[in-house]
Amino acid sequence: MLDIAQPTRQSKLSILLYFFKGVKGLVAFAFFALFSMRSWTNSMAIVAVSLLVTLVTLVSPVLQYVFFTFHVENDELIIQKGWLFKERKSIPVERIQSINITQNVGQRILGIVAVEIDTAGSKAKELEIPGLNRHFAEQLKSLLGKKKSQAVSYTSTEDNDVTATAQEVPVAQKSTSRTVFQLNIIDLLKVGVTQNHLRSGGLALGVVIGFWYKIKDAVESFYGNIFESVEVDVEQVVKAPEALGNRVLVFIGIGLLAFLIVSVLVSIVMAVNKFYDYKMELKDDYLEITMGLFNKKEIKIPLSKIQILEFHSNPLRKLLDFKTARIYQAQSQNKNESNVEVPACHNALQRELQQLIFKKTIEKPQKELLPNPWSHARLDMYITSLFGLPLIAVASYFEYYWAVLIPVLFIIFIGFMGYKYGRKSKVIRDDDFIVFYKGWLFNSVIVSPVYKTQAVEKWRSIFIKRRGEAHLQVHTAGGTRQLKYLKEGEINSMQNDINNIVMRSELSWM
Amino acid sequence: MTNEQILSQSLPVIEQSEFEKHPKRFLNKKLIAKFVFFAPLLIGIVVLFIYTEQWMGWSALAAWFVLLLASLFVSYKEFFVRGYVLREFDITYRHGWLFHHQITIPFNRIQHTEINHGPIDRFFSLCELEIYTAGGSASDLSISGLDPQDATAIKEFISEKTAQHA
Repeated sequence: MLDIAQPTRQSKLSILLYFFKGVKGLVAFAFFALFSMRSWTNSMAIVAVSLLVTLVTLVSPVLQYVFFTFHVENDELIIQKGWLFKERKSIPVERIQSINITQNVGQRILGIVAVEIDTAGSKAKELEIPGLNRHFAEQLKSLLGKKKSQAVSYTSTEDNDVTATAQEVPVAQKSTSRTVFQLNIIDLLKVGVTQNHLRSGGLALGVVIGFWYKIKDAVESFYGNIFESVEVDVEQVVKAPEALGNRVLVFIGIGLLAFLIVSVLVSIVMAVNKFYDYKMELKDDYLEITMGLFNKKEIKIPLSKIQILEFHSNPLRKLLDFKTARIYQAQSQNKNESNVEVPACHNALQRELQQLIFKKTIEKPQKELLPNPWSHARLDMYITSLFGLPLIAVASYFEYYWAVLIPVLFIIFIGFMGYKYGRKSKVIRDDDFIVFYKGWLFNSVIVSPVYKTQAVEKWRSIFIKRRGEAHLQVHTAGGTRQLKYLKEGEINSMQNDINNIVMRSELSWM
Repeated sequence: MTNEQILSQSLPVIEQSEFEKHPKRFLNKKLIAKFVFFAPLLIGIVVLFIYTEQWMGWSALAAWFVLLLASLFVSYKEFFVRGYVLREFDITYRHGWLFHHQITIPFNRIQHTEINHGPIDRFFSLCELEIYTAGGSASDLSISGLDPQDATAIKEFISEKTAQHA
């Protein structure tokens, strides 16, 4: 049995981990120093500074290791760190929502893991112990889990004395484990191919643009002005486009093709890195998910903590007949690491997940709220007009009347998409679930049990008051979901119904 | 043993309840705070009058005045739609005129409550009641401009109710 009653340090390997982190900064500094070494006097100072920085990089990991301790005291997990700026974080064990074991490349090389402790308080800081050996980490995880269940059952017995004698903490639970889903290589590639390529393409483009000048500088300093010729070409094109003629079109075509290929490649690489060796297991009452090629991730989600289940799709995925499922659990703000994606979720798996997590299936809806598609179209068109109208003005000022057509068509297209979005969206409620259906081409289904709702909000701007419309927001501990432009009267009755169910519910919701 | 039939029409509805208003001095505080916020901009306008042409100063003054009036108007309007309902099992708060919000939180979903007051609040003997829920802060509620006594009473009431559910 693990004993962490006294302040305990991490694995000694964590010094190396801190060192790796420091080295990243050192490399950046070395580049800076190298480039700024122009004159001799200058370089003396820089050498001195470099020595200092190197020293700090070497010493600080040891200090970080020495001053990072953690222990459990009076059912509180306490983490202390820092030498000059001391920091002490403590968290009551029963407040721990989930304990995740993660491993990034650096940790993987060293053979150590990080333990992340998530709480659901809206202000609590997150806790991470970055360098433990795996065996220790797993023991810590199970120890904290055990302490937590003891603390929880203790408080519950305290509340009602009648059952106090009857309740016994189960000492040895039988552990069952069943693989729910495992991603094979073919499906992994399918997932990669059906990612949102525009997003990955944009990401790649962003990286290239962001580093363009640095890349250029670096290459030029070694090979001279090899970019000069390209720049001349570009200037010529701008000055006399006719002279080049077809070459411009060919150039644009090649550019687009390259962008497409790069986007797809980036998507596939990202998907493989993220979802490699994906496995979801059901153990007792929690799901354990492992995935990742370079950054291995291991996430544990107690079934009772799951608040929202979402199924996303896109046109490419519809062809292959699978969706992406997302599982949201109760957690603190801005922390998305413990939300889980399930790639390549077929219809059978969708039903299974829902059955597994929420124990019930969606029945025939009692209530169905439909948004006004025209309102969606209208808002989208207003927003596009903000950019479109100036373009139209510019085009007509220069008397390119045919060019007016482009923004006009674009605005109409956006309006059409908005209308379709409104037509395909709805909120339904049956006895057990609130279900949002949202979107047309990139549609999603959002399922949340009614009793897990924390608050229901209705809001509207003054401009749609006249139309008798409002927006419905459902807040849960796992996040907020909303659908806009519903009938106000219908929202009112939905709000009252949900409230009445939540108030009476005695089920554990978090 | 009783097991009375409940008709769906007879289930409680928020719309029928009476929304409680904030004390009148909250409106004064809001209006004065808005004015205090706008006043420093007058210095900028004076500078414009001294260093640039007359019409620049005058138009800036006009813009300042219009903005001030608009924001005072919005604050004024907001005061009359702001209100809360405390029922046996939940609290409802509505606020906002341009963007009107109405949110209901059942007591068994509240984590903890807090009372805050700043210097201006203290001057008007007002305070702010904050109600926290789990997860992100999207569903946290802050009811500003309450009478300290009312706020304490509400806080006590809610704490008692949440303790029953914990």
